[in-house]
Amino acid sequence: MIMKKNMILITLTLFLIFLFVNCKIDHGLGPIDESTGITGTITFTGSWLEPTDILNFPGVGYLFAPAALKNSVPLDEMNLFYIIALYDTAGDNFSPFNLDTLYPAVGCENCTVKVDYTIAPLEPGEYNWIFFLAVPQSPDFANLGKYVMASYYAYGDSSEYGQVVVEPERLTKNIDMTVDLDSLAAIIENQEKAVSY
Amino acid sequence: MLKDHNILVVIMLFLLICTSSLFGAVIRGQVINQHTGEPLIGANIIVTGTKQGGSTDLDGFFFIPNLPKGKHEVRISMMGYESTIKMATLKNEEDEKELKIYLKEVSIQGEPVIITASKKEQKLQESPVSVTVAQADELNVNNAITMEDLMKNIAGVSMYDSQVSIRNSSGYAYGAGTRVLLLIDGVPALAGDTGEIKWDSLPIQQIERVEVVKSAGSALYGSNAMGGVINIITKEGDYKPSYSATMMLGMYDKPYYDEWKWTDRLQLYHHFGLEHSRKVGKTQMMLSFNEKMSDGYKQADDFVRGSSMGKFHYEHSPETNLTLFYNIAYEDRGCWFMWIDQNSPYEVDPRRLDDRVYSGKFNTYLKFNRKLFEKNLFYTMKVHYMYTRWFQDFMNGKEKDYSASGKLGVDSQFNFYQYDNNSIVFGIEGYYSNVNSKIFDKRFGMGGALFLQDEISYLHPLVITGGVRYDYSYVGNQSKWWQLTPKLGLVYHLNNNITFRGSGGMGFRTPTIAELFTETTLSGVIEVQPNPQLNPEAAQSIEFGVNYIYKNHYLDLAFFWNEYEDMIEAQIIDATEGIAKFANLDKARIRGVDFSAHTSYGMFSPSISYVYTEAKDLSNGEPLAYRPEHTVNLAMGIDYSSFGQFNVSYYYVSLLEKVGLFTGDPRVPVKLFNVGHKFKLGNFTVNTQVKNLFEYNYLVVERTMAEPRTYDISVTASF
Repeated sequence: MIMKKNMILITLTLFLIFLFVNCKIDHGLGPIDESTGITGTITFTGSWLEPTDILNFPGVGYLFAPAALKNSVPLDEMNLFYIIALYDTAGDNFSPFNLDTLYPAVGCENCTVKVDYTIAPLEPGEYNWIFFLAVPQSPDFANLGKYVMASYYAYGDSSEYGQVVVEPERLTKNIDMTVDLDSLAAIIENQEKAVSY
Repeated sequence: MLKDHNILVVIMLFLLICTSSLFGAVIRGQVINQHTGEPLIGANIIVTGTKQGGSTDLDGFFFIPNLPKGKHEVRISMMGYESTIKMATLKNEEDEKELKIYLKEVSIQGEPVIITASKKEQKLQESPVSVTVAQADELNVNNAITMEDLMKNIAGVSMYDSQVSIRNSSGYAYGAGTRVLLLIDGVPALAGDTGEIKWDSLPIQQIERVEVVKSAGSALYGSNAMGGVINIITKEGDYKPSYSATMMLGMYDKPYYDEWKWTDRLQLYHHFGLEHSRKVGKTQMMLSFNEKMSDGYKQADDFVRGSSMGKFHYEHSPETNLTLFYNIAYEDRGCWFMWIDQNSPYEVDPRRLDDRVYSGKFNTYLKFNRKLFEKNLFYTMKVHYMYTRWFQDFMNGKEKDYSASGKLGVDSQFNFYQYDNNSIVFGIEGYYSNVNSKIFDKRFGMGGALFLQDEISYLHPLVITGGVRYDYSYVGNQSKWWQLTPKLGLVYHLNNNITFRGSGGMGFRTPTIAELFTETTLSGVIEVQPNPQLNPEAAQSIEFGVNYIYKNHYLDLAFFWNEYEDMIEAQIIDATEGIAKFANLDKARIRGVDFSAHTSYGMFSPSISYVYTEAKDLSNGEPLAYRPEHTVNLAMGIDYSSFGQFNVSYYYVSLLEKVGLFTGDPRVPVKLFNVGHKFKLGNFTVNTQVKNLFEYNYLVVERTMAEPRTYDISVTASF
């Protein structure tokens, strides 16, 4: 009799635990929904930065540091991450995406390197500024413009950022950007103004 | 005269017959300690369903008269021993049944005795540092097939793949280096090359208990113990010949998401183990053989492991004994490194499917104990040797890596007890290791140490412990280091149940041969460069704690603070090219809170452990890699009868703020829910488990998905 009572109690307890957990069941990681997002190419042109330029472009320079410089760079400053960021049309929804695999070759002079990327899944919506950054591990987000290296421009018009509409279950293609290493300083100056709006 | 004698005999016979019928049917017998063979005084014997019972006399004998005929259940119990049930059938009212009962010693809850914290036997509350003791039954409640799974059940211990960490002292470095010293029966057991713990070689089924010292143990144990000590105490052989066989069969569930499915086959795992122990003359022996197999829950994850362990304890006299231990193991396994991508998390690069790792390990020790000078002085000498060898065949045989290492150690220790209030431990140690490897080259290392610790309790209830150790190391043909590590501990017994403790000391660790000289490419993906300029790491540690033990109630709270200098961590030095090496971090800090409690109320036995950690690289304020802020372990045992138990457990590890390699990969906290049921019937124990009940997908380390839901059942027969 006592055993029967105990069994009922146990079953009830287990059921309650199961119910409690099952109410908001979480399965952790899942497959990446590749069907909603953007895809494109980042093209790097020009010559890689000289070691002396690095001081002028914190974070950015190290991405393109020639191989000989690697050993002299403090380890903690090498911890850069490379992201593509998007601002939505409201201008207040900043969405950064890490790109671990986006590493162009280093030590190249006057050459062109193309790197394909895909950002998915992405919240469907309208984005008015899509840009590529190289940021140290402790970025100063107030001065984000310092790290912007390329932006997406519609129809090759570099006077206006290209607006992109990301539709549900659709991969928007050809969101291409160019990093002109020879005129990086000018780009960065412009972006600083842009990011402050 | 003869006639008188005959009359006396007749009267005696008459009385005997009368008393026999007077006693009715009888169950008599003797209760014996299974381990020592000594009779047990005061064991309780109850015949279920009757009002009859009794207890054993000075020679362990009992006598229960006036029993009705029929089949009786006899329950035998004694404080400090595992209760048992025997069946006895009495054929008629005058029948007599004789039983010989062996009881197995168990630790009494609330009064654990430990041997690791001070290299001597002491009660848990006498230790100035945090120690967790886990008995085999508590540990293997969830049918663990690997030691890594087993260790996760210990409060304050976490595992990243095969790398162990106590209170987040260690991160993850693909096995190289560890800040946790592993001991088997108090004898060091770390590989001579990588300095790692070879979990696959350890005998899970033959573990008696595990003691975990959670703070720096360098002042007694030297290098490697700066993050704590794990001491695996193996079973002793029994006086009574005993046999045990375990068969476990398990199944990996299919992945939660259909698109992750990678095979149509049923993926299984199994374990088969045999154990025999007996006493032959003055020698108690225990022998075991284990075989484990897994198809793996992901590609290139299958393994076959075999091992044999033996322990022989020779009791020459009450003052002198000798123990010989050996453990030999082999493994043939696939070589999983990382997934293809998050949409194929159980699959590897097809070119790596046939990569294999073959390894063998041999570990042995000889321990000699002698009591000297009227039992005030005890001498222990340990000689130990560990040999490991592995061979990796990858890229369809185009590439091969190998390493073989041997490590020989000698340890002489004296324990001196002056009255009851002064106990001194002192000794000398030495080791020599030799490595022949493709990735570490040919290297050797050697070292020696002197240690002294004094525990003074003249000022009872205050107990003061002071100690110091001097270590000298010579690693890899070129690097020499010496280190002095002092420590001080205070224990204040407020009353019989509440104890306050505080300790401070230094810890250190010399780099291993692997950390200094590894030159390889990990599965063709990450280039690891050597760093012969690596310095030893050092730590200053303090800890304060309070412990409460009353009957079945246990509570422990500790605050810990460790300041590291030259901490050795695996560093990515060029993310573009995927180049890594071991490097010293200038200054780092690991501090936090460790809380654990367990109790039992009626049929419920809840337990909780929680560790909060803040781990920072002080040079840049960044968190250290692979150190979660919160780790929680909740468990509930429900004993619904004397032979059955349900168990439920929940394991939570908060999101890792930083990882070493693929920092941009999505990651999630660990949330594991396991349920099980254990059923004991006579000589058989059946244990069924469902692990990861809610099919939670998380990463063991980067790009390595953890197990999906598993189901298993094990049957153990003990005779």
